[in-house]
Amino acid sequence: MNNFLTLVGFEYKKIFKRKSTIISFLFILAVLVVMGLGNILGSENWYSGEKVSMLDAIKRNKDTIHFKAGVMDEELIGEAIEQNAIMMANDDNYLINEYGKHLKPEAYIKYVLPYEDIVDTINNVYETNAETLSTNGFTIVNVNSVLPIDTLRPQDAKDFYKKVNQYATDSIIGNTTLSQDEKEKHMEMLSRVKIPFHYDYSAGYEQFLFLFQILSLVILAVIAICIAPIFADEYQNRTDYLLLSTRFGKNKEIIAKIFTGITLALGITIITLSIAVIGLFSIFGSTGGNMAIQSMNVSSTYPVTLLEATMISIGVVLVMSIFFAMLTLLFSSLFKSSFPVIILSFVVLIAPSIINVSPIHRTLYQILQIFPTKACTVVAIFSPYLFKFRGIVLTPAITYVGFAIVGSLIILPFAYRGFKNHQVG
Amino acid sequence: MELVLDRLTKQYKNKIAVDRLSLELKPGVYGLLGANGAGKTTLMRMICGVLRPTSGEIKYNEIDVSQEEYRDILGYLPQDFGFYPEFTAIEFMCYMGSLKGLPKQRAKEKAVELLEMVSLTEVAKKKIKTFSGGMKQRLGIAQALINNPKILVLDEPTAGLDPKERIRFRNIISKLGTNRIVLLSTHIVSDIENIATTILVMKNGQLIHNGSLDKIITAIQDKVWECVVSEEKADEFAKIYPIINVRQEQEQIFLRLVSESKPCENAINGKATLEDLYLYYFSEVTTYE
Repeated sequence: MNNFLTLVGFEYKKIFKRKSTIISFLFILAVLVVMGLGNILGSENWYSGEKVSMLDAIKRNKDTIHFKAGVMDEELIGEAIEQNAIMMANDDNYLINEYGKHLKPEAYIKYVLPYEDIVDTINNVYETNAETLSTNGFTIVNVNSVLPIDTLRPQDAKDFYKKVNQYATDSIIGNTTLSQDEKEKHMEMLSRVKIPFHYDYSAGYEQFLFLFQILSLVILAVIAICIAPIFADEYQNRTDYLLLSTRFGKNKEIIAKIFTGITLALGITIITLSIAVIGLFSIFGSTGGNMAIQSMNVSSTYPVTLLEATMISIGVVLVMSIFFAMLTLLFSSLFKSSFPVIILSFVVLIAPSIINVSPIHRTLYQILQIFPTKACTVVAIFSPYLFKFRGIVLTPAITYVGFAIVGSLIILPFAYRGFKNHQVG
Repeated sequence: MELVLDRLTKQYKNKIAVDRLSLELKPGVYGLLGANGAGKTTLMRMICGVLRPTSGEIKYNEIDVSQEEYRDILGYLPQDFGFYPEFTAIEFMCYMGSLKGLPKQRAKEKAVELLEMVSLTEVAKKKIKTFSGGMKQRLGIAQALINNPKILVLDEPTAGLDPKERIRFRNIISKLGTNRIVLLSTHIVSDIENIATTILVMKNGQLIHNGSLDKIITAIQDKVWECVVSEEKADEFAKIYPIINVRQEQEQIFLRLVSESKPCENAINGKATLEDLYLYYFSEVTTYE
C-alpha cells in the first residue's frame, strides 16, 4: 500500500511540475475571481437613486427581502398583493409624463422589493396569456406590461397554491412531447412538493445555480488539460520503455495513474465549487436555502429546495467529472501525445453543447443530454424530460449519475489495457 | 541463472525484424553487434517485455517475460533514453526505485549509492533537463541498476558520448557482468572488443555469429588484406571490396580491405579485428550480401 501511495505521489509530482497544470489552475482562479469581482466591483444606482457600491446594493437588497423572511403563507401573499394595490392607488408613487406612467424607485423599494419573488411567482401563475411568459434558461419571466398582480385582491391569496399546482400541472399535461409515463412521474413528484413555500433572500443560491454551467465547463476543461498527459506524456517522453519494463509498470503503476486521474478530477471539482460557493455566499449570504426550487421556476415539479438543488447539481458534476476523467485517461492511453487527447476531450466537451436537438427527437436528444456539458446544467438536471430504463422512469440526475458510474466502470479496463498492452517503437 | 530465447520472431507488415532467433545466455557480458535494421533493438525490446513477439518464448529460469517476477530482475537502458525533464536526478531515481518495488527509504539509499557510482552526486538535486548527454546516459545506467537486476539490457549505451565518457561507461559495465547477464548493443566496435566476453552478431534478424572475440574472428582470419596500389587501382578496389582503411603513402594508396581471395599480387594478410568482421558482414558491396 505504501508503495502504491508513493507511486501516486510521483504521478502527482509529474502533473504539478507541468506548466499546463499551473496555467490551468490559474485560469480557474481567474474565472472565479472574475465571477466574484463581477458581482462586487463598481457601483450602481440603487432603487432609491443613491449611488452605492455593488456590495452595499446587495446588502440593501438582502436586508429588505430578508426582513420578510418566513413562511410564504396566505397572509404574506395577501400582504404582497395589498402593498401592490396601495402602491398603484397613489399616483405619487409614479412618475407620469408624456412617455407614460413609471414606478418611482422609492416606491419599488417600499412596496415591491420586499416581496420580489412572491410578486414574480404571482405574475407567472396568474398570467392567462402564456405568450408573455418567456424562459431565461431555468427561470420564467413575465414580460407583459399589465401584470396579473395589479388585478388581484388580498383575499385571492387563498387560491395561490392551487394556482401554482395548476400551473405546473398544465405545463406538464400541455407538453405534447412528454410520454404518459413521464407525466405520471411528474404528477407524483408534484404531489411531494412541500407547501407553503418558504420565502427569503436567496441570491446566493440563485447565483451559484446560474453560474453552475460555466463553472462546470471550466472544471471539465481543466480536468482534460491536467489529465491528458498522464499516459500520453509517457509515450511522448519515451519513458514508456522504462515504465513498462519495471516490476510494477504493467499493473500497480497503471492503477496509480488512474487513481491519480480520478482523485485529481475530484479535487479540482471540489475545490473549485467550494471556492465558488464560499465566495458567492460571502457576497450574497447563504439565506434562502430552504426555499423551493419553484421560486426560480414555478412550473418545475421537482420537490427540492434550493439547497437540495445545489447539492444535487454538485453531486452530478462530481460524478460527471470522474466519468470525464476516465474518458480522458482512455484517450491518453491510446494517443501518442497529449495534444490530440486534449483536442478530442474538448470535442466531447464542446460539440454536444452546440448541437441543439428538439426533445421531439427524444432518443437523439437524450443521448446528447448525457454528455458532461449538457448534463452539468440546472436546466438539464431539473428538466421536464425524463429518462426511462427497463420500464422505470428516472429523473435526469439519477440517470446522469448512473450513466457516469457505469460508463466509468466500462471505460476503466480499456484505459488500463491501453497502456499495459502498448507496444513501444 | 539462464535466459532462454526460443525461436523468437517479430514480424511487422512487410518485414521480419527478428527471425526465429534462439539463444541461451548465462552470466557474463554479451555484446550485440549489427548494422542499423539488423534487429538488435527489436530483440532487446522483446527481452525487456515492452514489445510482444510474433512467436517464440523468452524465459529466465522458467519465468516467462510477461510475468511480474521476470520484470523484477530486469534492468533496461533503452536507446534514446527518455526521462522527466522537471525531475531532479534523485527524484527520478527514487521514482524508478518505487516502480521496481523498492520501499521508499531503500529506494533513496540505492539512489544515493548509484548516483555516487556514476559520479552524479554533485548534481543529484539538479533537474535532468540541465544535464549533458553523457550525464543523462550515466543516470540511465544508474536507474537500470537500482533493483540490482539479474538481467541488464543496455541498448546503445555509449551513443553520443565523447571518448572520455565512453571509457568511463565501459569501466562501469565491465564490472557488472560478474554475476548477471549483461546484454549490450552498439555500433561502436571498440566498446564490444573491450568489455564483451561473448559477441553476438546479428544480420537481417538472425544470429550469424555467437562466440568469443577470438572464435568469431576466425571466420574472417584469412580474408583481411593489406596492399599498396595506385590511385586508379584504389578507386577500382573501392567499388569491389569493403575498404577498412585508406592512407596516402607518397604517390600511392595504402589499403586495408576484406576479400575472399587475394585482391592483387602484393597484398598480404592482415590480423583480423572485430571491425573487419563488421565491415565484412555489413558493408554495402553487393559481393557480400
